[in-house]
Formats: sequence, structure tokens, C-alpha cells
Amino acid sequence: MGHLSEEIINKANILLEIYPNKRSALIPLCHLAQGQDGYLTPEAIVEIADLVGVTPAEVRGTASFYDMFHLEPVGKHVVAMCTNIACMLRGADELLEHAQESLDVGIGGTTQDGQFTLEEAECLAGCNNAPCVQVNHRFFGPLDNEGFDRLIKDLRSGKLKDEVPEHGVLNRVDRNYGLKATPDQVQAERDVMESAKKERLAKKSESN
Amino acid sequence: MTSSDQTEDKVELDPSKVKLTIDGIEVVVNKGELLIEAAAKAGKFVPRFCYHPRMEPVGVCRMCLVEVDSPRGPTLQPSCYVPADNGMVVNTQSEAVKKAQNGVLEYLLINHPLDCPVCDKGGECPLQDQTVAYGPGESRFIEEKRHFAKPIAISQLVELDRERCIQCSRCTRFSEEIAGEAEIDFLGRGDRTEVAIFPSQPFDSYFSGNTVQICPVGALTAKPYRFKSRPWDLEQVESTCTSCSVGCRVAAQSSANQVVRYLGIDVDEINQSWLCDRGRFGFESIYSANRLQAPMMPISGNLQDVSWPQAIEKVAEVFAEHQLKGADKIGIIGGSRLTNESAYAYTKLFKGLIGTDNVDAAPFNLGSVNSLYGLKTATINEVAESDLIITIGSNLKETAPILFLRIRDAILKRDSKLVEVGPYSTPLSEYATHVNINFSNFSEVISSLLNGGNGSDDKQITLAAELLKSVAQTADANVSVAIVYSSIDANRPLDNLEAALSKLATFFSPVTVRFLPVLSKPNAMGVLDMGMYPNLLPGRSVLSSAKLLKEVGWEKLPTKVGVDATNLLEMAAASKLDTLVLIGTDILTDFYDLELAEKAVANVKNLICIDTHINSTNAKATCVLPALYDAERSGTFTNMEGRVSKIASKVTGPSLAVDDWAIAVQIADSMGEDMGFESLEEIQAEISQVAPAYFGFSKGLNVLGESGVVVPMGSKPVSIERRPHDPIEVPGIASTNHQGTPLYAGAVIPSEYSDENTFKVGSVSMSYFRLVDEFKEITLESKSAVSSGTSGDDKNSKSRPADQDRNICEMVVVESLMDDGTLIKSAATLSEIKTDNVAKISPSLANSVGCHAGDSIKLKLGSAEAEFDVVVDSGVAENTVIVKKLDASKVLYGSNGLLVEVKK
Repeated sequence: MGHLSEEIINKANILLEIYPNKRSALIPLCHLAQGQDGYLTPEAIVEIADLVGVTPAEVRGTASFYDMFHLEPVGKHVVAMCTNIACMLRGADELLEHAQESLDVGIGGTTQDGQFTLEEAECLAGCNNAPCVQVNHRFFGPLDNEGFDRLIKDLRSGKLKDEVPEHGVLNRVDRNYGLKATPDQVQAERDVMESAKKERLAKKSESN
Repeated sequence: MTSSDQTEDKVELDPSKVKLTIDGIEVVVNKGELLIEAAAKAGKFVPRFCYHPRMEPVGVCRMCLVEVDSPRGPTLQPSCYVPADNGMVVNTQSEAVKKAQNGVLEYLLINHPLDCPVCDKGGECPLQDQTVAYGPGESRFIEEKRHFAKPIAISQLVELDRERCIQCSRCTRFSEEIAGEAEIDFLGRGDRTEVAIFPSQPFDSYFSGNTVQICPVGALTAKPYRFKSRPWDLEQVESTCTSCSVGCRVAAQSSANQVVRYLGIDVDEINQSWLCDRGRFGFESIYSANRLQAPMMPISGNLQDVSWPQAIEKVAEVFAEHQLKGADKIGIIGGSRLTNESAYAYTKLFKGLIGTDNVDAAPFNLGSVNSLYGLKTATINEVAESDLIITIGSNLKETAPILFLRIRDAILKRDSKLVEVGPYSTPLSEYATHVNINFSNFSEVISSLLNGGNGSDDKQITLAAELLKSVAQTADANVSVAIVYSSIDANRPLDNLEAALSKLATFFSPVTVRFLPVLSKPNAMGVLDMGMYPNLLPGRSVLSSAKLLKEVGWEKLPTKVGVDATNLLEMAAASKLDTLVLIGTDILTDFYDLELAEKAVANVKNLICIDTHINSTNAKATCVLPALYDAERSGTFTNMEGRVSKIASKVTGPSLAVDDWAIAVQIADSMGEDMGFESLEEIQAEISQVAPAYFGFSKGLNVLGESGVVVPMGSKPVSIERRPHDPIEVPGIASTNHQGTPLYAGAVIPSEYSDENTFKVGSVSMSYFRLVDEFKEITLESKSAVSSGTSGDDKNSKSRPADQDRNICEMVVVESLMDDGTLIKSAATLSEIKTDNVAKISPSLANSVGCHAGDSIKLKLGSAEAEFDVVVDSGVAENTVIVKKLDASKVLYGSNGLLVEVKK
């Protein structure tokens, strides 16, 4: 029995087919696996490696490059707090300090109850709402200390359940509820591209 | 500048060359050559870390920035990444370049710890050296450096110190690009980047030592060398690796008379700077506790040290008896560890003075000598340059690892096509059309391959047949085919191998087909060439053609062809043999029929062992003579191509161990005979004089330097441009005589054999080798005979139907690199590496036995039974089970049969 569920393997197989090169599907597959486990488990990494035809070390190395993948278990909610310039000018550093105190964890730590992991993030592209915070890749802001505490309280109580799903299940592949394009469509699009390319080349050689 | 004037006209004619200016010097280089190499040709060294001449450039370290003129003015560009082009103006010494180098080094040293005094690399470290030469001298960085636990073991052999790593990616690129096993990769990003393995998957590649060799800092270190020496205490000789028959060039380095490290020398023709871990770390066996220190003889039942005169006297007495009467009652087995000179000395002792032909170095599993000598040999370079490569038999990664790398490289970089005819899937299978074979279907498969796949429902055969056909029908005269062949089994030859090779040659004619035999034992080719095989005499000649030998003292040449190892042991077991001489072979561990070996050892009167290590066989000897080994001896080695290269001694051996040829001389002396030589040079001169294939080889070796000569020497000099020494390619090799040196090699067997025909190598005249009549080139059958389908002899060998209730299968016994043989067992670090005990079976057999991958199965043969873990492999033929050689002895015990029962 594999570690990844049948549903995920099915999705993975569709993904693998749409890329000309299998290893191109590596990152979407990592998102799928993280969706299942909340973080990238070693078991999932071994299976992904097998699916895309690279070694587990390469999958782990690639995933480790991206902040959206977690190689260690994280809390149900990953709270990422931006401390780049716009947020910093609006008090992000102080907010981060407050967050550490009120959650009683350090940066990168997970609360005792396994609910929250606190992270310091680079610009999240939410400068209009500075200081901004992402919880499982959902935006909140601008936040002050009270606002942050309220947010944590709501997340804990489940009030925001519909808005903020558990960590790991948010990714583009899932947001669209799977792939909309069938392999045939993909192939058709590729054919169109190819013929257009040929035409361009033909024109080019003519003009030469 | 004057040189460029002379070449100017030529450049205009030759579109493959470009002319550019580097620091005001005009140079002409090949189009597409990288600026960093072009600069070397202009005599300018550009500092570098990530660039390695045997790997694709990446341009990540930025150390090699140079200024290149462009329409926008001079810009800094990485010289390892920019190809040279006509009219380029390059400056490697400008202020801007110096400032960039300063900056890069200051930046690299931000996090690099200054623990050089306790770092193994300190003293030969490119970072250290280039900081002295190009660095800023001081750092503006006063903050804390990054810290990691150090060092961590990433395999049994390699330790990683992440603080020292400068992220040049040489190691990760090597493991992916060259070895094809990306077991290490970068983890993290930015200043947190580190090299890492996957936690449950150690870096157990056979080639892991190469990453240590190319690391430009002390981040990767190998356990056998850690803290053994300081680089300035090292002494070095260039030598030849003797762990397999590829014969890679190595730099053997010692400190205080102890070998501490082997590094691979970049020889274009062979290993291109890479080594396998067995070759690199096997030297530790020199210092094994099992090393024989003195001659030994049983005294009241126990082997005890005796003096040389005592031992020699005993041996000479026995040999003298055989010399007088009963030359056929003595047999000699083993010898593939010998140098050519020692092999010649023993052959002369046994065949020339004692007069027995019962000499079998058991060096190969090809069936007949003719399948070695009767074919047009390919060099390794010729294989790598072929358009179609066909491998028949063993898994090259296990039997000839560097040849495996060369072929993989040829497929990936030259787009060569590969057809793999083998008993199981190998790491080459993913690039190849793999065709399954076992003993019973071999001839049949070859026939259907040549028939366009007719008569076979195997899709792979059809695919491979189409590929073969398309090459055979090509009109392109430049297309060439290389066939790399061996048996599929460690012990038994493939039936009809010679016929199959001949058919293949015929099939492709007139397309050039060349053959490269993969011999399993190290100096197998050399000891055969020196005549350590029944019917053979030195220089690829046979008993009946011995003309020259009498003149140099071969008085008692045998007239009767002797018997081979198996028959010798059978004679011994039946008490028909009085004396058995074993040279470096442990028959009680690795002879395929252990019961026969045991009986033989028990029933033979005199068991004389000439060995380097104590093993289970020589523990029962009547006399054990200690020999020198590996980096302790000098001589020459002949690899699978027939390339003769030098083995050099670096250290002195155990005080009472003696070089093999000297043992032979001493024995002869004690017998009252004169061998006629007392030094290596004298032996080489004698071989040069009397061994036809080796005519002139010693002169050749001296003229041609360290690259070796391919025997028999050909007429066409092949000149390879000499590359300037690159000190960063293999840090630790400060200089070599050989870095892409010019080589005179030839069509290995000249097409017209004529004794009068001479050619010159340097100032030395040499003459062609005439192949003795017994080894005629394997004749080409008529084309129609080959394509007319299954020939008569194949009909009997239809695959055996599987017994429905009991799964009776053919067992194929394969070699593995890290076997449990004497070398591995006595090398401290390599012996700790655990190997798995697996049996490979086909999916359909797994089905019928009812087991899955990871289960265990039992193999039963006669009364013996052993358990193995199952690997299901679609590259295994039906009804076949693959086991490794030394695992197999558990099952094979008591029989040399080939059918086993597979049970759950």
C-alpha cells in the first residue's frame, strides 16, 4: 500500500501527463502530497520521487527551496507574518514580537496544542493591508495587537473554518477542483503551438 | 604573436576554429571551446571553483569572471560559460576583473570557517590557494558565521562538513550528471543552502569518492583519509588501479611510507579522472591484519612463520621432483593479481623449466581464448565514440564501473544508441533497448535480433532488431558499432558466444564493428598474454608456435596441452594430482564448486600458496609464500583493451614479503636453474624480445611515457591534444605526466601482418605483430547463413519449460563490485559496507511462486537451500533467477549445476 491516497495518485497521474517532461510535475505533486498530510512527509517524498523519476534527495532539495512547502510537521494554521519594508514601517516587527508572546512560541515554532505555527515571511504582496498576515495562505490585515489576538481566537474557535482550511490543502491545483483541461485538449493546444512555431520558422527562412 | 601569423591562413580555411585575443595574445581554439580553456591555451590561468573540465559548466561560483569586449564596452562574464568566438577580445587581468575576484572571495569567506589548520584540505585547497593569489587579504564581515553540526556522515565512506561548503555544486552535479544517481542535492536556499542526502537514503553510490576528489574545499572528506596526513607530507607516484580490468590511472599518495589516498588522474583514453570506490579505497587492504608477513609452513599441525630459505627449499624440492618426472602431476591455479612481469616469470618457471602446461590463471569466463584474441579490439574511446553500442553479458557497473560511466556519457552526450543484451536490468537499461537473455535462450535471441525480430513475440527484441538493421543498412561510412561482451555468469561461459559475435560482425559488415571484452579479473588480459592458461605462451602464441622461447632458456616446453582449473581440482580431489600451486586465489571461498574445492584441498599432497593475505585456503597450505601487493610493487598491467601501462611502487611492503617475479627467480635458483633475469627491466626486455604481441612494448612504454601502449602496437598514431594541467580539477594532484597526453595507439590488430613492416614511435622503430595462426581473425560467415534464421545448433537449446508444480529455474550467478572477496574483506572501511542478499526474478516467476518484491524466497539445489530477498525485475528472462556470486556459494555448495528450485 502506498502512502499517498488513491485520489491523489489519480490526480498525480493526470498532472504527469500534461507535462512534456515528467519531472516538471514535481512541484504540483508536492502540493498534492502536502494537501494530504499537512506537510511533506518522507514517505510522500519517496513516492513522488518514484512518480516523476528523480531521487528522493532531489525532491526534498527542490521542495526545501520553497517556503510554501514544509518538510517538518506544522500546526493546523501556519501564520506567516510579513516583516518587509511596508509592513515594517507599519509596525510589523512589534506585531511579530507580540505574536510570539501571545502564542508563546518562537519564530518557526508550533504551539503546544498543535494549532499554530508562526513564521516570519518576506513580502506577501499585501502591502495595501500592512502589516499583513497570511494564515494558510489566506490574507488578513491590517492588524494591530488586538486584531491579531482576535484572529487567533477566531481561528481557535473554528469561527473561520470556512474561510481558512487546514494547512496544506490550499493550492492552485485544488482551488480549481482538479484539472479542467483533458489530456486531449492539452495535446490539441500543443499541436496548435507547434504548427504556429513551424509557420514562423518557415516565414523567417523565406525572408532570409 | 608570431604563432598566430603562421596559423592565420589555416584558420580561414578551417571553419571549426576561431581566433580571439586574450590579454593581448592571439590564440586559435576550437569553435565552441569555453573561454576558460582558451585562456589556458594562451597561458593564462583563470581562477575557478565550480568549473570542472569533465562536467557541463554551470557558472555558479563567479570566480572565473573575465572582461569581454562587447558593443556596450567591456563586460564581466563567466569564462567557464562563454564559448570562444571569432574576434573576441578578452581581458583576464583588468582592474575590474581583479575587483570582481576580490569580491567573490571575500563573499565566499563570509561563512567559510577558518579551520584550515585542522582541515584535511589545508595545503592543497583551491579556496586557500586562490584566496592567497586573488583574495582581498582581509574581510569586512564581523558578524557570526553560520554554524552546522560537523562533520556528518552521509555514507559509510563520505563525511560532510557543511560549514566549509561553498556551494559550487561540483558534488551534486557529479552525482546527477556523471554517475546518474542524484543521492545528494542542495537543501534550502540562500545563506541556508546545504548539501544533503535524503534521510533514509545514504550516499551509497559506487562513485561517491569522486565527489570527495573534486570538492574544492574540505567539505567532503573520505573516512580512509581523514586526518591521515598533511598534503605537504604526501609523496605521489602515477600508477594503474588493479581492482578490475579497466586499469584506471591513479595517483597513489603516501605519507611516512603508508599509502593514504588514491586519486584519479585525468586520462582521456581511460578514466577521465574518475574512479570507483572499490578502486579508490581498496588500498586499505594493504594494511589489513590478515596480511601475510612471512613465509609459513605447518609445524606440528599449525601454520607458523619460517625463514625464506626454509620455505624456498621446500618448494624447490617439490618442483624439482615434478621437473624430473611427473610434470603433469602439478597444477597451478590463479594469478590475475600479478603484474605482467611476474606472470611471465611464473609461466617461464612452470612451462619453461618444470615443463607443465597445467597453468590456469582462471582469468576469464568467455569460454575460448579465441573469443578474446580473434576479434578486432576496440579501445574504450572507440566504444565511447561508436554510434551503436551493444553490450552482451554482465552489468558493467558491477564488473567495470568506469567503462559504465564512459558508456553512459557516450549515450547522454554523444547520443550513441545502446542495445543491452543481459540477464537483468542495469542502470544502463533506462537508456537502452534491453533484451532479456539467459543461458538457454542466448543463441536464439541473437538469431532473432539478426532476423529483424522474426520468430519472437518479445517487443524488446523487435525494437532492438530494427535498430540493428537500421545501422547495418546505413550508407554512412563513418558509422561504427562497438560490441562490449562478457558472459552473463561469473563462472560459466555463454555457449556459442564466439559464434554469436561472429554473426554480429557479419551482420554489420561492411560497417566497422569493434569488440571489447569485459574480463572480470584485474590483470586477466596481462596474465593470459603472458601465457598463464593451458596451451598459451607469452605474447598471444601457443605451444606449437614456440620458436623464440628456447633461445632465452625455456628448456622444457610442454608438448601436451594442459588442463584447466576445474579439471585440475577434479584431479586433485581424485588424488591424481600431487601438487597444487595457488597464486592469489582463495578457492575455498570463491570457486564456484565449493565441495570440489574442499575435496581437492583435502586430497592434494602439496598445497603451495603464494598470497598476500591469509585466507581460508592458504590456512591449509603446506607452504605459504608472502608476496608484495598493490602500491608496493612495480611492473606493467594490461587492461581489457590490451593497453599496457605501468604499475609503480610507492611504499615498502611487509619486510619479508617479496615481489612475485623474485619468488619465481628464487625458486628456480634453488632448483639449480637460471631464469635469465634478475630485474624488472631484464624481464621486460625478454618479453619484448620473445612475446610476439609485446614486441617492442618496453621501448614503447619508455618513449610514450605514462599513457601506456595498446598491444599489439598499431601503425596509426592517434594524437590527442595535450591539455594544460588544471590544478583545480583534482585538488591534491599538483602535477602529472599525463593529462590528455598524446597517445600512439592503433588499429589494435593491423590489417596486414608483416614482420618486415616497421613503423616509428618517436625515434624507435617497431614492427607489426603477426597473429599466430591459431588465432585467426574470427572468420565472417556468408551473409545468407546469418540471416537464414535459427541455425542447427540452436534447436537443442530451447528454453526449458518450467515445472508446473515446482518452479525449477535457471540460476545465473552475477558478479558484484562490493563482493565479499579478499580485497573488500580486508579493506577496513569497504568491509563495513553491507551488501544486500537478493535474488532477482521476472514478474511472471514472482507470480507463479506467489511472492512480491521485498518478500523472501528460498532457492534449493540438491540438499542445499538458502533464503534471499526478492527483487522483481522485468529485465530478467522467464524462469531465471539472478543471484550474486558470493551469495550463490550458499546454494551452489555441492554442485556446479544450474537449475534451482524457487520456493516461497
